[in-house]
Amino acid sequence: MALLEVNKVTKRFGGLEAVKDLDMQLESGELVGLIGPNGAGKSTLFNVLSGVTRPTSGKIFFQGEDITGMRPHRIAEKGLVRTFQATTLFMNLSVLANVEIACHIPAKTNVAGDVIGVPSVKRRENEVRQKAIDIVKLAGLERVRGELPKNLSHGYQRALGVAIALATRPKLLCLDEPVTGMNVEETRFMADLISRLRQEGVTILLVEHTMRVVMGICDRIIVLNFGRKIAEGKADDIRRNKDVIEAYLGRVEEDVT
Amino acid sequence: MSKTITRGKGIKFILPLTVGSLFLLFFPLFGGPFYANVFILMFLHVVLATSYRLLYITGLVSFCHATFYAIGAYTSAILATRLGLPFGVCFLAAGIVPAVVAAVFAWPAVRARGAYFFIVSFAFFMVMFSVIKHWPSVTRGVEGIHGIPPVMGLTTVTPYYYLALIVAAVTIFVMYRLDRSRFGTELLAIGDADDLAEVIGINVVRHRVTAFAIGALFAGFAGSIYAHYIRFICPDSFPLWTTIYILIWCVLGGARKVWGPIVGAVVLTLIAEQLRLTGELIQGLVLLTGVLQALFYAAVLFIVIMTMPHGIVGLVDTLRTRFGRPGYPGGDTKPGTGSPVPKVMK
Repeated sequence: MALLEVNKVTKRFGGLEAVKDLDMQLESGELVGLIGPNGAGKSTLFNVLSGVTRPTSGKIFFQGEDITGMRPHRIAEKGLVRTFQATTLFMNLSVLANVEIACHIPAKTNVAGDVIGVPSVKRRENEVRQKAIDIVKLAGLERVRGELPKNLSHGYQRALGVAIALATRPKLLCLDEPVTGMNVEETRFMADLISRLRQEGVTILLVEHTMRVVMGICDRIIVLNFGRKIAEGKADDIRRNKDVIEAYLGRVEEDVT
Repeated sequence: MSKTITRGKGIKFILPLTVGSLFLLFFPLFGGPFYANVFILMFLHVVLATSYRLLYITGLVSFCHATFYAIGAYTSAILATRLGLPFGVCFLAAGIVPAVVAAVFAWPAVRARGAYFFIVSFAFFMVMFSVIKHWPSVTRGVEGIHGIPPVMGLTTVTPYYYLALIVAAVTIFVMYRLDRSRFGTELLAIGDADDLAEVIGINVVRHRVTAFAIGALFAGFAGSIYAHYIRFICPDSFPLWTTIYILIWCVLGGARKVWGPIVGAVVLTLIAEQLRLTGELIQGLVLLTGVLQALFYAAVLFIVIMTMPHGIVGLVDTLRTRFGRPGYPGGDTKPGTGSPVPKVMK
């Protein structure tokens, strides 16, 4: 059974078909790249997968369960977690608090217990804190863990976005352009981090424009254009695929001389 | 209640807190009835402002907090006058009824965001205002409810002073504990980025509904005390202005901290009442006092938004941060020295 199965998913905005009849499967433990020119439907697909928007038609199965149209927090609880493209972070909480907040999924919030100060709540908070510290270290944010995200560099902000998603213990992690806008060193660090996560058994779906990264670390690549899947395969196959080259570089007109 | 997520608090708060408590505790002995009355209103305003903050920090500006104040007051007044129930029962019901109404209203309403929620809540205020005004068999309509029995037959100001003080203190305590809890931090997180909060598994709708209902609960308690203290309520006891004032208290004080709305409510209530007193002393100004207050509030709001977007408490935090004491959640945590930071991330 595939971990994620996308079955004929279509998402229409008025007359625009952002995603059309998309079929896609992810096996457990895979690192799959999702590429395509601007407007190809990558972000829409992410929104549909994470429950931010409902697909117009089609079904999405996660671990064999139909999650189509579920609310985002329910999907996150199932273990499908995404990051955001823009620097969407909890800007007024410290870096560590950002990660801690995301650590909570297994432990439910208990409002009354919080007010009274039940010991079990306190113990749980300490466990959460330790876990958050580990994740902050893993993401290379140890040095800035007391800072506010809005004061961090772009690279750190992206790393924090990934750290937040990681803290939820995802089974499938969807990364939306994690290295876009990063310098070479930051990019290398993020690529390393992604590879390490994958070795730890996290399945990853990676949307990215930086080809070097996608080609370098993904097991398999899916190419979208105008909402349709135009190619799927290993990096080398994709690089040579005529449709892909055409999508990125434009059609070679035969009669132009 | 981890220290990591919550704020660092020095022991130096204890002295001003003790002095302040003692001052408030013995105030009726030397303050005189005029100021005792002002302080009662101030305590109720503090309850309204801190309870309003709970939803406000999740990024939703509600325009119907006065409605829950009114529902609380009416519930208490109706139960006391019609059924002759004791104050304790009326008081509890005055909290529970608005909380339930708030939850029922909020369940669909909080799905609207930004300006849309503002409009929906404003509509809710208008509808409830009309209902109270035009349902004489229950609320006695525009005539209002007269002769609400005083608490345990006490008609002097002092007992109400202490009653309001206790309710304000309990409200502040609960709000403070909530703020330092995981739930409180999650509310702040929702206010920062509700889409991200949802995607990491926080039930944003349920959190907002809970925050709204808890806010209404305390607003209702304040309403009950108001009703039994003034002993007369009518629809115009809870006008649109009430919500606007609550909002301004939060903006002036700064809502990121529990103390913000408290500071805002205290400062503005004292100044506004002082203005009213001045207006009454100068004979020609009597008619102008309402206008003066409104002008004053407008000026305050304008200046605060222009000069200190995070309010008085936000300003204090900025100054403290500048001197090396971060005033945000988790900011008290010192980075460990254990793991080397990868060079690449510098």
